[in-house]
Amino acid sequence: MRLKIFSRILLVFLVFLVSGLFHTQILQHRAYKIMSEKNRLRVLPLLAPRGTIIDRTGKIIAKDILSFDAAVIHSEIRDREKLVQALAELLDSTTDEVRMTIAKGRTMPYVPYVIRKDIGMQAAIQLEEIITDHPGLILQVSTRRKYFLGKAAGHITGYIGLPTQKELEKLKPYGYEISDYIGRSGVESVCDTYLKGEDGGKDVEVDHRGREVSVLGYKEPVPGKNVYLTIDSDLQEYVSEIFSDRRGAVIAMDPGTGEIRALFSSPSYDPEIFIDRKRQKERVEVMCSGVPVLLDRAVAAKYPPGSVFKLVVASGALEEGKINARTEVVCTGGITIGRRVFGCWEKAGHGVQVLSDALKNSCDVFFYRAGLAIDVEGIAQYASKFGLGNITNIDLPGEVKGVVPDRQMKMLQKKENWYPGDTANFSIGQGFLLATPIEVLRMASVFANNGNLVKPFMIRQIGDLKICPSEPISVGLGANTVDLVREGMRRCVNEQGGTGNNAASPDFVVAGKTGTAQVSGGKTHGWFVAFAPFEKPKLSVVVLDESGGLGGHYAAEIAGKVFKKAKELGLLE
Amino acid sequence: MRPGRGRIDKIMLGAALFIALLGIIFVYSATTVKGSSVAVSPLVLKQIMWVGISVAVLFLIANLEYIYVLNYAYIFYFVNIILLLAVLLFAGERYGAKRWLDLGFLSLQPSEFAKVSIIFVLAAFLGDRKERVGSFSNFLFSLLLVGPAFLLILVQPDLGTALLLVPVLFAILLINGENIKYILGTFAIGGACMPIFWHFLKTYQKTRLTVFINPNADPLGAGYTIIQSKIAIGSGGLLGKGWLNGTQSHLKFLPERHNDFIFSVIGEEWGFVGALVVISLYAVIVIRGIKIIAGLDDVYGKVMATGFVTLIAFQVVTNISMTVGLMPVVGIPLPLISYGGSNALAFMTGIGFLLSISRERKR
Repeated sequence: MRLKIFSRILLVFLVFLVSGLFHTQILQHRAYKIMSEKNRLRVLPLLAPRGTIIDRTGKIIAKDILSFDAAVIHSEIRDREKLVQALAELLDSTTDEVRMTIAKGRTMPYVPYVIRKDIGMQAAIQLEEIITDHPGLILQVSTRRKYFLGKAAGHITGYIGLPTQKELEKLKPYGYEISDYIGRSGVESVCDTYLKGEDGGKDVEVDHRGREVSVLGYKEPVPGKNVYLTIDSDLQEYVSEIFSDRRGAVIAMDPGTGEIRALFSSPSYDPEIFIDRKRQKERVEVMCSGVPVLLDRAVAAKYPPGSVFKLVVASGALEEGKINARTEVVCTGGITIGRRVFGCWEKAGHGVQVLSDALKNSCDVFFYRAGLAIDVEGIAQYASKFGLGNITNIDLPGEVKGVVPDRQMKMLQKKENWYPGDTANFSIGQGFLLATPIEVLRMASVFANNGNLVKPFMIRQIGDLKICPSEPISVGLGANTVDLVREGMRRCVNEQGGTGNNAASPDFVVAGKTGTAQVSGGKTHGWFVAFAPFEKPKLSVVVLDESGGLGGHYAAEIAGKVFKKAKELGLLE
Repeated sequence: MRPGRGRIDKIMLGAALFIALLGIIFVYSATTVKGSSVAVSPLVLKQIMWVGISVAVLFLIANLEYIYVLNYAYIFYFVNIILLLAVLLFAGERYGAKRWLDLGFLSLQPSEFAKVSIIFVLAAFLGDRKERVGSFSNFLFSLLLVGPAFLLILVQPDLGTALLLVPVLFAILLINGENIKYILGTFAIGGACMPIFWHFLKTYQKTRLTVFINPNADPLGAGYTIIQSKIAIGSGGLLGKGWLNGTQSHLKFLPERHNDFIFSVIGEEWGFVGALVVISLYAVIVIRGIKIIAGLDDVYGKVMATGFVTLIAFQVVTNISMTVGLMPVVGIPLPLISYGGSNALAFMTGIGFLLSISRERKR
């Protein structure tokens, strides 16, 4: 009787077992079969390397390089302490640190967990040697973006980052995945769709670690296209060397074509801090320091141009016939307009000045008169002709346009009439007028390019596709006008007492114009814009020394050094 | 030899040897890694060795008079308790539990032997007191005999093995004709104490129970094994993928595949049919065992036979249920098929005694 109860109980268990197996193996077979296929058949992405960024001479500026990562699979670790010791020695780290990093990956014991990214070739070889002694330890290979110019070209290359959820929704139709880096600024951002290749893939049978056991299908990845720049790496590095302790921007360009040779915004940043997780601290510094580091001051920040604007006023007054080469103005150190006295920077006065004297000495009184003669409308008209108040369309992201004021604008913004005093301020590049360094450079390059306005650019070729520079647009100046202003610029640098003397060179002739822009309640901005060689200009340079307080003389010194370096590099031939 | 000894049960012996063979075949399959150059894993050779030893032990025991062995039942019992204590004191941890006693040349798992010695000691005790069947003292002392071993195994922690002692004890009490009221009463009290019991569980044991209810709660952690095991068994279908062709196990998706989860390999490679074959073989042993029990007057033999039959039946049920996800993962090997020397030896010892008892028939 009792044995019967016992047998019945066992029978119940038997039925329970068999029906359980029947349910799993027969009724749900299809679902589990699919899961098993999914388990072992996997499409392994073959990541396409991002295109390389190359300078004008063929030097590499940014490139995807192989990165070796040390990783562990928790479920396969046998001797944890031995592994910790070995890793600490290999990675030159403390055992506590390694132990903690390993512990973090414990939640996913069956998939590789990266302990340190990019351990370098040497350490990778050493790791490969000890891998068999330490079950659970593996070496993973991936790619990493390397920026060879680093901080020297941060604003040119820009940086890359993983897309946010929102960005991904927009980019998905274009074949982007969550793990695809996208360009965040600079060339990386402008050429992102070209630089990004097309990922390939392999249909493979994999084991539990995701290691392939056999290949069932293959699609080759298409690498991203290379991007060729007009930048000269050596000049760029030199500029960063001499200017990185200042704030502001330096741009060098071929005035005839608009090809950018160097473009440096200071303070700059190393793009690798956005990829390297270890450099979190530097990243925070860049993002959170009071000074905006990511801002490209060369194209995305506007400043009062000060005296460099006198080049525009001079051209306008000449074209309108209000002055000629022999028109004399006596500078006594200031003029009275209405009830206010407008002083010259030289309080003692410059005496009798013709146009080229005034450009050489940067005489304010001369330009007050010239500006008043063509009035606000005339100045604004010529400023616009020189491209001020309008973006240059340079191939960098985030460009802003400067401000060219007029009567209407002042009325709308300040609810005030335009006074003759405003015109006087306008004439010497102060007041409401604002310009970006690239606008100023393009404006001054007109005098190096027979009165033609170029479109600045730095991307000359993408893959096999050459990019044609846009045709320069004539500003519509008479040849005489251009020559007269050029002469003034030449004297400014090369004649005794000229404000731009610091830029002069014994080997070639530089022509330029200084500016020291007043800022209400702050230190002055120093400006210098110039081109060389005088007879056949090959390079124009603008230097903006933001809130440096040293004036145009200092900016001229920087530009002088840039020209000398350019000469060495053969950029003036 | 006493007069009236019959022949051993050849059907049971055949089933046991067949199971041992399956064990070797599937330990081989489970340890063969696709793409690996090593032909035969050392684990397979070890398993063959252990099966050989176990079969020898089986024949030795089958020819013994079990009744003499019971003279040493208490000694076995106390030695085993001491070994269990030694494990707690000296053993190093493996997979977060102290279960193995390292003797240098081999490592022992005293909890495996405890299952056998508990059966011995209960047989000796209840057999000596057969005139007091149904008394409270019989019941209470049986509980007290099992109690220390149960607790010592529980704190290792080896929840699965400890819990196996429960059906063994109660089946013995039931078959031996002890008072049903006491048995049901203990169950009632035990059930009421469940919440307190939960409190004493280790974190990983709680995780296992949580994961049993919802394996997807932690698919790459604790739930991983269950999910992979169910995928293996389910994808096997009616006839399976064929021996050595299981993708789940050969690509190493399934951890512990040569050990507690060897049934998943069988289910994947031989399908529902293969699973039924394995279950049938165990069923043959259990059915023959029940037949032996039914034909016995001798209390010693009856208690022993009941103990071994229950032990085998519940170990099989627990292990297979766990691999199919019908029960929480408790770490009980599949008798004689899962890799392991202690496992094979304990099982063959049980079969050996069943065979020995089988010769003691009613005239």
